[in-house]
Amino acid sequence: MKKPWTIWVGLTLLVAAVLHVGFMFGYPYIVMNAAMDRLSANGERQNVWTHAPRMTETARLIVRPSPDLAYSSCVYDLSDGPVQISVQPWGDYMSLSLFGANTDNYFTLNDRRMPQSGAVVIVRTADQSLTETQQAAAFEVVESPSQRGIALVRRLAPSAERFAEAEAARERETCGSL
Amino acid sequence: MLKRILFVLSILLIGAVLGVGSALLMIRNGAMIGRVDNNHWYTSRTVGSVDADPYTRALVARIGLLGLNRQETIYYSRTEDEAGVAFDGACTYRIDGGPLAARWWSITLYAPDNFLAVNGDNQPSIDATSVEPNADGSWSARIAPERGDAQHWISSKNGGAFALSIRLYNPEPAISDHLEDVPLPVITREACEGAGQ
Repeated sequence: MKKPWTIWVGLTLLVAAVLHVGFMFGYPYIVMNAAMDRLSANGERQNVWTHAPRMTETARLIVRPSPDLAYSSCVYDLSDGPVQISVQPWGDYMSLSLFGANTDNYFTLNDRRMPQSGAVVIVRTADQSLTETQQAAAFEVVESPSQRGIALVRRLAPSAERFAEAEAARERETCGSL
Repeated sequence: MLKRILFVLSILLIGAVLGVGSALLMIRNGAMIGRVDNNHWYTSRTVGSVDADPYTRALVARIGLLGLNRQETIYYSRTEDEAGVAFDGACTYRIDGGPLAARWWSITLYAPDNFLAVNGDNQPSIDATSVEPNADGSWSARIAPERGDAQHWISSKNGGAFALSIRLYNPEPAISDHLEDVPLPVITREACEGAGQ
């Protein structure tokens, strides 16, 4: 018969291993959820663009921000159906990137691949369908791995002048339910 | 009965401390499977990608949330100079680089809390549009608490044990398969305030 202390050590290590793996898997979701809450004002601003001011030393929304980029974010929630995102063209580097609830960057569209007039991207879950008209209007239809996530636009705007131009461009962009 | 309860409680409590504690330590200390080292700079093959393992995802969540995948952007970080000594915001460093194989690049200094250093200097980075290279493509800049006579400057004031990040946007496709060999800037410590060096 095994001694109690060997059982104790074995069970303790088992609990430790399970919690270690569980925490590692869960941590990105926890951090991403917190980021989505921050970026959406605790869910008040979902499915709408939020345009960040120029990144300065006081910015605390997202770790390691780039001071040379103009960021716009849209926390999307697909529980009421697909979300349509439109982005305007930009004369320099820009990208629209989509992130799932586990932090994965599952889709990116940059200005090199984007039509000159900008692009419309529809985000949906695997079980959400679109009409032919909706599909035809989209440059790309993307399947989100999670119901909530973050759309992020980055525009190269390293000077105050370029940042002002970025602000004008992004005011014409949309993010909302279909 | 009490003995049995204590037995179970001690297993749960110590198991939780060990399990969660070791996970937090790994996240905090940057354990990163898929890490690639390149002359004091380091990156990951899987940042942002759907191929990332749980450890990389956890690290990205801590220091690089919303980072792009490496086909779009390659991020390198470093926390030490060429001698392997941790960066110190009170010291002066020279950074020497050449052409970087990307459409646009930037180098940004972050304080230990992973945000821009709070110093009022508004000089947290240099980038491909602000650096004027020599005829051969080489360039140099200063990382220091004061600008001095430097043409290109990143302020390290209040940066403490800072870190640097290079962003290579739209990197040339060939380099994403050779992350350990990409030519990156060299950073040499020149002086340290109060250290007499």
